[in-house]
Amino acid sequence: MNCQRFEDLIVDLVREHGLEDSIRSQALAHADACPACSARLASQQALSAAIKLAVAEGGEAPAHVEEALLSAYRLRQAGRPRLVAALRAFRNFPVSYWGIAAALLVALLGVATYRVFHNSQPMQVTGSASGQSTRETSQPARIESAPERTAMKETPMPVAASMDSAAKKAELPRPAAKAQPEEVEVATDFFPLTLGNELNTMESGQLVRVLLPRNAMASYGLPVNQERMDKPVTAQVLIGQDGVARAIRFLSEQNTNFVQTGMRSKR
Amino acid sequence: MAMEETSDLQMLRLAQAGEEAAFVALYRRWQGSLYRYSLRLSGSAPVAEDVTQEVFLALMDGVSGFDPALGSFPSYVYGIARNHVLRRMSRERFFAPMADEAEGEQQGAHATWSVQSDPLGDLTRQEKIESLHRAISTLPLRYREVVVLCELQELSYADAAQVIGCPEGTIRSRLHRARILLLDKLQEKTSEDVRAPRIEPARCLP
Repeated sequence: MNCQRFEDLIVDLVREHGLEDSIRSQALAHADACPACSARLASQQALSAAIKLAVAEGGEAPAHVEEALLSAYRLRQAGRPRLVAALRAFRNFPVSYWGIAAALLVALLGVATYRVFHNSQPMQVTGSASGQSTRETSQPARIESAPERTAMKETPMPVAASMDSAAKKAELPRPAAKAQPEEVEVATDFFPLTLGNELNTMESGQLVRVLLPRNAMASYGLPVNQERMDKPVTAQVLIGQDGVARAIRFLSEQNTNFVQTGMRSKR
Repeated sequence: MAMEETSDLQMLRLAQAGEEAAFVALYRRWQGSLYRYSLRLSGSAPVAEDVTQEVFLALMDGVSGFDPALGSFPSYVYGIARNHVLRRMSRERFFAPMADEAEGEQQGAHATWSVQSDPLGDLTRQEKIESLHRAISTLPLRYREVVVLCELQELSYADAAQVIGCPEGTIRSRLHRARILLLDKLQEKTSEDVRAPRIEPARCLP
């Protein structure tokens, strides 16, 4: 046996298994004859001795692991009879009843689908974006929306509108429920935030209510009440389907001392 | 039939059928080994606890299903534990600093045999164990897991190969290289300790 062969076998030699007796004795004989291999064997045996100490050493999982597992086991076992009973009931359900159940399910789905589509009709306002003379601008804006949706004060409110038609929407009569004094708001016209062409391409959008510093009104040429400069002003931003803000208008309650020049009641 | 004499497979079947005593016996038989294996592989006690729990939850559910024809029970449970440990390691990156894989390869390739017969000779028993664990934790994962499985958990090459999913020859060669790396690390540690300046006690002058 040479040193290379000894090196190949040394791990099996020190682990004391997987080595035939004849090969083992040859390896040991080589170690006796070769001082380098003898030192290798000694260091590997020292390592094995240290590993044996480490094997004996060792912790166990804390008691709470067993407790948690037992709780989980009991829960699952407790749930199993109910599950089995449910499965049996499911299997024994008369075939004739399945047809009735299926028909009911289909009917329920139909009703649900109808309600979903009916309620999710966006408030569609048709109209032109700029002041160009089109058929829509000469007629009142047509709003196709459920009344309760129109009456919703809180935004976001789905709309499909250009800037002008959105402004017209503000002029539309509100349901009686909304005509209470505390909910009356006045609003400015919409101020465009983008170029006119982009407004024409807007198919739908949302009105988002925001609070702005009062001096933001000055940016749009609106007079600002200096006495109320420290109070923010409410505004509605018209955001297109692409997420781009298209227009803005400022709101204020009528009973405040807000400068109302250029504002119209939203009632 | 006493639970102590029941085979792992029988206990597993009984536990899955709702026999709580079988589940408890199976847990008590295996929890220590699985906990230590997870702890040695991950270096984290909380992870070891979680992994031990996950293994028994998996056994309870019988999700993957143990098939004795495909392998032994130890390789099955260690395999589940290994998957959980590796998942946690890749997710949390908690484990102890260890040598780069390439560095480990290089060290293994050029490792020289020591002439020092006992690299841990001067240490006490507890120091030896701690030094060994520290050295194992710095091994690259591919070597560390072979050392943990074959040496510390005392699995056969065949079972370790099933746990890791590689041929027995790979286990054998990795173990060979891992032991050389371990000896190098332990001897480095010993020589560092020898070189370290000794702090002499000093007395304050009046």
